Amino acid sequence: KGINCTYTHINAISYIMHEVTRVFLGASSILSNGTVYSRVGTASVAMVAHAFGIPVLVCCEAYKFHERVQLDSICANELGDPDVILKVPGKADLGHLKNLADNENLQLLNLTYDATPSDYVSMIITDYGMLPPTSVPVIVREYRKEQLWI
Amino acid sequence: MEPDASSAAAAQNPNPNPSTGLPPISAYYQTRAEHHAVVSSDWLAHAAAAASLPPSSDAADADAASDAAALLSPGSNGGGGGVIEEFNFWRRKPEAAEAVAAIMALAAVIRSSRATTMMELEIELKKASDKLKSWDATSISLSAACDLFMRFVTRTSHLEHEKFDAAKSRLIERGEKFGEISLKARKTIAMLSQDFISDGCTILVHGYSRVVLEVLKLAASNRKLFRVLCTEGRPDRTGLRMSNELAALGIPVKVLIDSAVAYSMDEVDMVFVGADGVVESGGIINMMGTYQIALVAHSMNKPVYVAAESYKFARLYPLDQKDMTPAHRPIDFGVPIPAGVEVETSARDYTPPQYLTLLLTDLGVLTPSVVSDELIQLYL
Repeated sequence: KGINCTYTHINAISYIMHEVTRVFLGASSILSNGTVYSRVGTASVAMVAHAFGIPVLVCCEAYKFHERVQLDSICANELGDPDVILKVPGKADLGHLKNLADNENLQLLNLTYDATPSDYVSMIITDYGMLPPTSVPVIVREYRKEQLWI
Repeated sequence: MEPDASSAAAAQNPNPNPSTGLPPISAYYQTRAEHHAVVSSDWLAHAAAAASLPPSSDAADADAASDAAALLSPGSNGGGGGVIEEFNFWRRKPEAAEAVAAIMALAAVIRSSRATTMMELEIELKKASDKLKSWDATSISLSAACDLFMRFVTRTSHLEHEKFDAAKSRLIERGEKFGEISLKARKTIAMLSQDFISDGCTILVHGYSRVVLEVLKLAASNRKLFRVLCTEGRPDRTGLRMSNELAALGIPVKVLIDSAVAYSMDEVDMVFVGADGVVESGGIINMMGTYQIALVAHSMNKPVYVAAESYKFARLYPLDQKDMTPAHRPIDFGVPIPAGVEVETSARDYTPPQYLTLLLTDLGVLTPSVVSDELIQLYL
């Protein structure tokens, strides 16, 4: 009576992609050049799906569209708690990096977002209908005109 | 704004099960066959059986085929109502596209309406539009033309403030203007396309498209010297018909069997195709084989130009070939197919926008990505 699900870790994406027919992704924002700004890992999934020829559908509300343009996920991002990636929840014995955290040559990087280039997106589903990534600027303009009276 | 209901029609459809017998023939195919009198023996036998007529001994009898097609046409049945009759009247004119016939029929609905309020008139127009669309659920240009007509006519900001009679005459005016624009679309596209055809070039065409024919005809009358390669266009031999028309215009033409496209692509300078429908992604839906040709052209860096009227822009977004409502046609292999062998009978395919170079439309020369922008402007 529920929806059949398979839970796996991101390293197994390329293995499981054979069984996938559609990929649905959310988005924190979609930028004017069609780049999808979303939680880290989204770009990896989209790129693997694209390599397998599987359509990638991004669901995003129009109010999350932004007029900014961003080409990668380095020039703007948020840092999370670096200690989070040291630990495996529920497995206190797995602490391989515990003693290495003090090494001054090692920094821990826990990014919050990544950017998916529009080449890997087949369709963006919004409250204004289904769009190709190239039409994001039109929605940005129309949304401002309609909702913000600018 | 909610997505158009036709977008929901782009659901994935499984291949028809062969054990259920022959799939129903698309009315769109019947229309084309009726216009161009292209008849295969298998099609005629199927049509005769469906119409309960005795099979004709002359398989090439075009008149018999036209009669059978007319009998099979859903529009010929009773209960079609005025809009269907008007539609069939325009559809029978050989130069009018099916979509233009629909536009003219809807314009006639406004003219003959006895409604006394705007709301009433819009409801009446909506019903007529829905009736036309259900006449052939597989025709994309018919569906797109009805939707665009509704938007073009009703999208007038001053309607609410006018008296009904003034508003109605304004609607009639806009409806007729839309019909006019649509009728002239082919000539507009032909003129815009002349810059792309240069002396000494070789053009590959696929399918019988009246827009493409108009483009080539105008180029020939402008004294340009070029050569045309036509695909054979099985199973309805559209290439043979196209080559007849081109030869009559004095254009050098060569017919290729469908599988010879890759072999000949190195001598091709550009590919011209028409479109049954232009979808929101910027891709096109056209006669089977278009996608294959676009793939070959793209890999060999040849431009693919699509000549399509703007009334064929549809709010559909197929993700792959199976996303479209299937449009089947009978295929005559000339020899009996063994029992248990499955035959792919789809009449059209979807070509994604990355394989198309430009769309030549009556709105101008567009890149595929602009199609969605145009549709957003109109439907928002």
